[in-house]
Amino acid sequence: MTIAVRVQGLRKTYGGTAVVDGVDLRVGRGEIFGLLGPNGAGKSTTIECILGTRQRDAGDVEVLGLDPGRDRRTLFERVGVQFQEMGYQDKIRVGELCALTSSLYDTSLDWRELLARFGLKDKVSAPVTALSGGQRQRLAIVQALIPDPELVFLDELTTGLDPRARRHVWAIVRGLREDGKTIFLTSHYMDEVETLCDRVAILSHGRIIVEGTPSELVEKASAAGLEEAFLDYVDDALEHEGGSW
Amino acid sequence: MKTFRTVLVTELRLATRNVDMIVFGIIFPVIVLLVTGWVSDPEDMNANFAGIVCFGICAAGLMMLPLTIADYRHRKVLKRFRVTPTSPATLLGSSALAACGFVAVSAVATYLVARFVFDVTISGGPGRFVIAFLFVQAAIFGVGTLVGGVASNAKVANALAAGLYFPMILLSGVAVPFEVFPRPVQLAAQILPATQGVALLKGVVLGEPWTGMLIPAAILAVLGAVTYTVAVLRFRWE
Repeated sequence: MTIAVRVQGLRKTYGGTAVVDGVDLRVGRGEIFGLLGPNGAGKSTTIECILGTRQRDAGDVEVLGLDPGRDRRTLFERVGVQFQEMGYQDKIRVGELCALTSSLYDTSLDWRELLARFGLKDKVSAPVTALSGGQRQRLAIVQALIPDPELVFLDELTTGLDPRARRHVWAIVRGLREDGKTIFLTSHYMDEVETLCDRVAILSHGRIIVEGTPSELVEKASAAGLEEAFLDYVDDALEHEGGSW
Repeated sequence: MKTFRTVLVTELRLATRNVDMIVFGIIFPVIVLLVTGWVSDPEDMNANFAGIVCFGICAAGLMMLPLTIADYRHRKVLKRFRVTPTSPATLLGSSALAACGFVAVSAVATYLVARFVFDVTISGGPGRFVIAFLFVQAAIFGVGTLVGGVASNAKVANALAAGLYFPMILLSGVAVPFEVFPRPVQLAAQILPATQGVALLKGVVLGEPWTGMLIPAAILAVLGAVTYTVAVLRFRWE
């Protein structure tokens, strides 16, 4: 298996406290990988260090064989990113946003086709602000897919969506894997993780506490489901640290 | 190049949807011209016209441009751009050029009113006026790009923009004729790029010899180059 993301000994400290404390990760090509963890576990910082938008204090990061800090412009021709909140200009329309995103890349997919695939075809001339939460989330995914990336980062992509919209997004993500893309996602919904992810890692206090396929994690914790297993692992890690909230 | 063009077109489109920009960038300078023409001696109108053209440049370059960039930072538009192959130079350059388009419209509108209502004539000729205009714009827009490029948040950008804009509007001879100020204020105001800008534009409008304009032009060009370079090098995405 070739590796899409390799992280070794990643550390990031804020004011003397290690937010990310020696994280090792490997994401294989073509895999859907989930990075899980309670709020404040260091997920966002880890992703930001992987993307190079935050300077790491120690460790090695390699994304598609490149250093995200040094090779930013080459790397982001091949990587699509959906942030939890999609930043967009005031009064911009859907089509304008897509055309703008598309212009940032050397090569890009036909964004009209992407909008059609994501059920947003009739929204081309609508202001982004007029979209519903689900539509906006799909638009954010379209932005991430415009460069036809090999690797896609999806940060809490279904937070705030209704059950139907969530299922729609899941089908899209599975479709992406069938297209051969690698997906790195974060989520707080364990049902989502169970249906989508090939492999997951749980982060707590800046460390990976367990890693494996969702069923391995459930089995190892002798839990009824991934949610129960997740809570067990996180609680165990807390006791281990001897800390409390 | 494709990126530059698309960002530029999008910026221009968004700007036309922004009523503030149309009011402050285009309509307001024309109103200032009309009021000035109404209260001042017709003979002074040639000189006043130069100041008001610079007023339009300041409104777009010191307010509209930095506040737009700071707003993109605030809205996390720049954060999204950061994970794409685009560069600060492209983003800042295209935003600045879009604001230039706005100023050009403002300058033409101001000129038409000045010409046909107040009989203003540019003694130095239109070609030299356009060249002088570009020098002034380069400097003022460089300062605005620097504020927008490095301000850590919208509040800081607002404070800096206002802190630069208002002194230049008041003290540089933009809206208030420079000659009314006491000598010490005039000397202190020399440090403001708009003061050099008004001097340059006024020189062309009044048909003064070009040799006297070399120093203000050089100051403005250097200021533009330095501020733009620093803005690109110290650009903050977040």
